[in-house]
Amino acid sequence: MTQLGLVVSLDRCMDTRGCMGACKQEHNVDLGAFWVRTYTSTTGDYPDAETYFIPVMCQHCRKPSCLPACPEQAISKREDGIVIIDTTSCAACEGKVCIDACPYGAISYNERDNTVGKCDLCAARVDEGLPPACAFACNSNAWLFGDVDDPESDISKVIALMSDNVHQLKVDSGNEPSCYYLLSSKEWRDMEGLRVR
Amino acid sequence: MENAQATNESGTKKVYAGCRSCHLNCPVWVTVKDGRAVKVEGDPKLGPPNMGKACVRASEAIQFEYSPTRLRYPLKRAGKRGEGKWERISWDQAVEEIAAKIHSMVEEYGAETFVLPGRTGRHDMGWVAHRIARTIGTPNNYYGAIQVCYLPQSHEHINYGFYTATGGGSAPTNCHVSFSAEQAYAWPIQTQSIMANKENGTKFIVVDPVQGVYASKADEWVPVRPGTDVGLIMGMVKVIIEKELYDKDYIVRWSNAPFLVRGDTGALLLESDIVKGGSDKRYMVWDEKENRLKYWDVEEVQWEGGPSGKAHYDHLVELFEQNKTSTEQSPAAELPDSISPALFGEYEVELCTRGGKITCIPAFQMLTNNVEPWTPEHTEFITGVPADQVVRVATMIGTLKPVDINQGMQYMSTNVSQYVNAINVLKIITGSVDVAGGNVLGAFYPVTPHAFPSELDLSWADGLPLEQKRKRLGYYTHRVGCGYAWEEITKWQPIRPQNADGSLLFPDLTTVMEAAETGRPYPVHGIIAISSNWLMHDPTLARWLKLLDDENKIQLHVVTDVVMTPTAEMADYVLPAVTWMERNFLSFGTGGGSSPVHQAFNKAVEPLCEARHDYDFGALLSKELGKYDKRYVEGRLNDEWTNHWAGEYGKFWPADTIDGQRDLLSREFLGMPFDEMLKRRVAKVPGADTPPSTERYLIAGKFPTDTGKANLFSTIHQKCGYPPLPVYVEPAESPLSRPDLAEEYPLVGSYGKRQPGFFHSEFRQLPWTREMTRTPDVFINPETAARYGVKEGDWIWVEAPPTGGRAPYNRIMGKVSFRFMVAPDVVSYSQHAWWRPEKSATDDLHGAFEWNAEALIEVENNCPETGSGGYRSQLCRIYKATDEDIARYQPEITREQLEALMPMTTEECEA
Repeated sequence: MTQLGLVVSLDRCMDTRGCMGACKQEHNVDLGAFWVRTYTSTTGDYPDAETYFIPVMCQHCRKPSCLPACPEQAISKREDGIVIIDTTSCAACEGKVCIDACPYGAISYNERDNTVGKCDLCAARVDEGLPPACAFACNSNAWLFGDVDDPESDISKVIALMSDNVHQLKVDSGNEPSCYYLLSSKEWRDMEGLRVR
Repeated sequence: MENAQATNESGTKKVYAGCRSCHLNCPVWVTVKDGRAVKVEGDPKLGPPNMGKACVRASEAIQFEYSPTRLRYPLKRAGKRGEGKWERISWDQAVEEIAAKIHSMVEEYGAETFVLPGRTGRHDMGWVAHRIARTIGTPNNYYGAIQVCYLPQSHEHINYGFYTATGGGSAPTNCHVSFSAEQAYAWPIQTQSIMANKENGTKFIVVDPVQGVYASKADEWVPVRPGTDVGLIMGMVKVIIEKELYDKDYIVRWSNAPFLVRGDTGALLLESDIVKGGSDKRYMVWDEKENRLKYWDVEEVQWEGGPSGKAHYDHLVELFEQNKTSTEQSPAAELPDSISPALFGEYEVELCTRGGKITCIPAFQMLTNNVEPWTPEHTEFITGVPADQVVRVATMIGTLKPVDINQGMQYMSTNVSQYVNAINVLKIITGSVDVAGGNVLGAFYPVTPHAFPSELDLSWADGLPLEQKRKRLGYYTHRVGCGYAWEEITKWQPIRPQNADGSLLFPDLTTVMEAAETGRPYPVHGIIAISSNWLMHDPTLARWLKLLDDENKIQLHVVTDVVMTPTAEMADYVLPAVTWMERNFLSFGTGGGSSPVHQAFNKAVEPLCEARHDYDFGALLSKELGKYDKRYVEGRLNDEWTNHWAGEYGKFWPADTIDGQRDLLSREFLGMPFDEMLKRRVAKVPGADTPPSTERYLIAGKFPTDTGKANLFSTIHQKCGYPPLPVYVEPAESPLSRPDLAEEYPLVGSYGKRQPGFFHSEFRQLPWTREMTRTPDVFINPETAARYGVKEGDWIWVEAPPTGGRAPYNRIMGKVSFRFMVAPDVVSYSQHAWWRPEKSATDDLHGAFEWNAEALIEVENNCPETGSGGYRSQLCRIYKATDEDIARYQPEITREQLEALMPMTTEECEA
C-alpha cells in the first residue's frame, strides 16, 4: 500500500511562513483561507517560557473523518493516500459539515468560489514527480515528503530513527493521520493553546 | 549552464530574475505568460549561497508587481500637500520643472539646502541616490536610517580597516552570539544554514528583550533591557579577563591592546614622544623580558628586534595592483622571541617634549580598569540579565572562542557608538577577527584582489571639494558618524579613501531637522527622496509633518517610488519607479571568499505604464541641470582622493539608462556585452578562488589600519575627543536616566521588532502578506500587561512623553500578543513603519499616523559620536483603547478592503 505523507521537523521550523506563501501561490487560495498555517506554541512563565512553531495542514488521514461527512461524496482518498476534494461536486452545503468533522481545522471555506478547500498534497505536482510546494519552499529545510508505508523510503527511515521524538496531532481522534512532527528540543503540546498571533 | 530563459509552450517562459524584496538578492524563476508574471519560485539546482531557496516575500511578489497602489505616471501636486490631488504630467515636463527649481534653489541657498533622506541600501536604490546627491552638489545625503542601521557595520572600518561580514548564524562556528537579530522574518533563507549549524553543534546565544523565533532556538536567551547591551558586554568582558579566557597570543600580536596610553593626553604613546627625532609610526609597548620600552613600527611592519615585513608588504601591494595575490606568510607575522609586550601594569615614561614624566598604561589595562565596576551583580542591576547568566554566557564565549558575533543593524540607542566599541572589544579579546569561526573581514587589503568596486562603491565615492563636504550637517558635532573622523581615516585608509568617506559620512537627522525648522546653520529647503518612504521611518513624525505643511520651509519635495506611499502623498512631484521584475540587474562580485562571482539577472516583464528606473531619472535630471551649469554634468570623483579604478570610471552618469551603464561596465570588467552576461548569468571573478579567506593578517603582516593592528583602543574615537574604550552611559530616555518622565511613562518602549513578510514599510498592501499579519503586534510580558489592566488580544494605546516635539502624535494603537515571552516592563511594538494602504489619502495619509512608531521617538537626545537616536529604548505607557477609538480607527482590515488590494488585471494595468 502507498500512503503519501509529510514529516515536519519542529526543531527546525523557524516560522518563516515560506510554506504558507508557496501554498497560497501554488493553488491561488482564496482570501481568508489557509491550506497550511503556521501556529506558535508558547507555554510557561518568564524567564522559562517554551516556544516552538508548527505548520498545520490536512493530515491525509488513513481514516479521514471528512470523507464520510460530505453529503455530496465530494471527498475521496486516492490510491496513493492523498485525500482530495472534488470541488465540482462540492456544493458548499448548508452545514459545511466537513469543516467541523476535521479535528485539525484543515478545511476552509472559499467565499470567492463558494466551495471548500484544503491541502491536496499538491497532487498535480506529485503526479509530475515533484514534491509539494510547502516542502519545496521551506526556508529551513524542515519538511520531508514521501511514502510513509514504505519502510525503505527516506521519510520512513527518519521516522524510525527519531522514535521518541516523533509526534502526531490528536491521535485520540482515531483518524490515523499520515503526517508526523519531529520535536526533540521542547515539550510536545499537540494542538493545545496554539496561537495564530 | 541553462540559458536564462526557458520557453515551454508558446507564450509562456521562465525568466531567471533577482528578487530584491530584501538585501539577499535571491535568484528566482519568474513564470511569464503572454507578458504577464504569474509565478515566482526558487530552484534547488541553484547552488550557494541561497541553495535555490526563495522566501515568502518572493511567493507574494506577483501581488506587489500588479498592486493597485502602484504609481504609473509622473504626478504634479494639484492642491495642498496631503490633499491627494494630483495632475498627471509627462516625464519631460517633470524633469524640466524639477531641474529648474533645483537650480534656482542652489543659486539662492547653496546646494547644501538639499537633503536626501535615508533609504534601504539594497541594489539599485541606495547608490543611485548618492549620485543624484553629488550631481546636485549637496553633502547632505543619507541621513536618518543609516544612523541606526548600517552605521554599526561601517563603524568597523575604524577598528579593523574594513567591516566584518557576519552570516547572522549561517556561517560555521562553535558559537554564534546574536544581538537582537530576527533572521526568521528579516532574512528567512538564512534559516537553512542556521539550523544546519545548530545540528552540527553550534551554540547559539541570543540577546533580545523578546523571546522571538531566534531566541526560541537558542541555547541561551539573554533578556536584556533595551539600550543596556553595552553594560552587558562590559560585565562579560570582566568575567573573561578575570578567568583569563581571552586569547592572549592574538591580542598581543594582532591588536593594539599592548600599546601604551599616555596618562596626560589619552593618546597612544609614540616614539616621537620619547625620543627627539623619533618616528610617529612607532607605537610603544612595555617589554616584560627586558623591562623597557620597545616599539611596533607600522610603516616597517616590524616589532623591535624582529624582521621587517615591509618589502613583503610592498610586494603584496604590487600584486594587488595587478589583481593578484599571494599566500606567503609575512616575515613579521611571528612575535620575535626577544619581546613580550605587557598587557597590564603602570609604567613611568619620560617625554622628550614638554611634560617630563608621565604614567602610561597598556590599552588592555585601561580596558580592565573600565570594566572593574561591572561585577555580575552590577551588570544584573543595570541590564536585568541575571548575574549567574552573565557569568555563564561570558564563560561560554571565552571557552568556545573564536566566536561569530552579530552586532546587528538594529542597536538603536543613544549609546550606539560605545556599543560598537564594546562589540569590537569582545571580538578582539576572543581572537575572532578575520578568523574561521569568528568574524571574517569582507576584504583584507592588500591580500584580497579587488577587481572592481561595484556600482555601490563608485557611488559612495564623494567627489565634493573639502569645503563643501565640511558643510555636511553634523560634521563637527557628531564627528565619528557625520564628518571629521573621515578626515582622520583618509590619512591612513590604504584603499579607496573616498569610500571611507562614503561609509562614515552622512548628515545627522536631528541637525537636518533643526536646520529646516530654524534656518541654522543654514536653511534646508529641499528634500529629494529616492525610493524612500521616509515619513514612515524618520522620527519625529510631528516635527516633520509641521515642516512639510509649510511651503516656505520645504520649498521642494520630490519622491520616486513604486507605490503611492504616505511620503509620496506629501510630495510636490512623484515619479513612478520600476520593480525588480521590470529591470535587469548586474551584481558585481568583489572577489575574496565572500563574493567570488558576478551575477546577472533578467528583467521578466515590461515596466508598468511609464515607470522608470531611478538611474534613468538621475541621468535625465543631470542632463537638464547641465543646461544651466556644466558642472552638474561634468563633475567627477575627485582625483586627489581616488585610488585605483575609481578615478577612471568616476563620471556620474556614463550612460542614459541603467542598462547602458551596465553594458559599459560589463564590457570593461567582464569582457562581454551586458546582453551576453544576462544569458550567462554567472561569471567568476578572476583569481577569486586563490586568496585565503581568513587569517590574512598573517600574510600581510598587519591589519589595514593606522596602527597596523585591530584597534581594540579606537584611535579614531580618541582623536575625535570621544572615549576610545567602552564606557557605559544610560540611554538618554530610560527609567534610570529620566526618573521624572518615568513617573508617568514607566515602561521601556522598543520599536521595530520584525513581522513576517514585510520589509520596513513595504508590502502592507499585499493581500496574502497582510492577511497573515493584519495589524501591529504589541509584545508584552503577561504580568506587566496585567498591572495595566491589559489582556491578550486587547487593542491598546502605546503613548510616549510629549517632549522633543512628539505631541500631538505621540501615541499609537496596537494589538496585544503573548505569542512571544518578553522581559518585564518592556513594550515591544512590532513593527515600525506601519501604514494602511486600505485607507485613502485624506484618511490620515493612508493611515500613516495611528500605527507609526516614529511618532513616539524623540531625537533631540542622540549619540554624541554618530547622532543616532534612541529608536529602540525610550519610555512609554500603555492603556486600553476605548470602543470609540475602535470605531474611529477601524483597525481590523476587512475582506472587502483586502479584495480591493488584489492584483490588477492586465486591462486594469493599461487603463
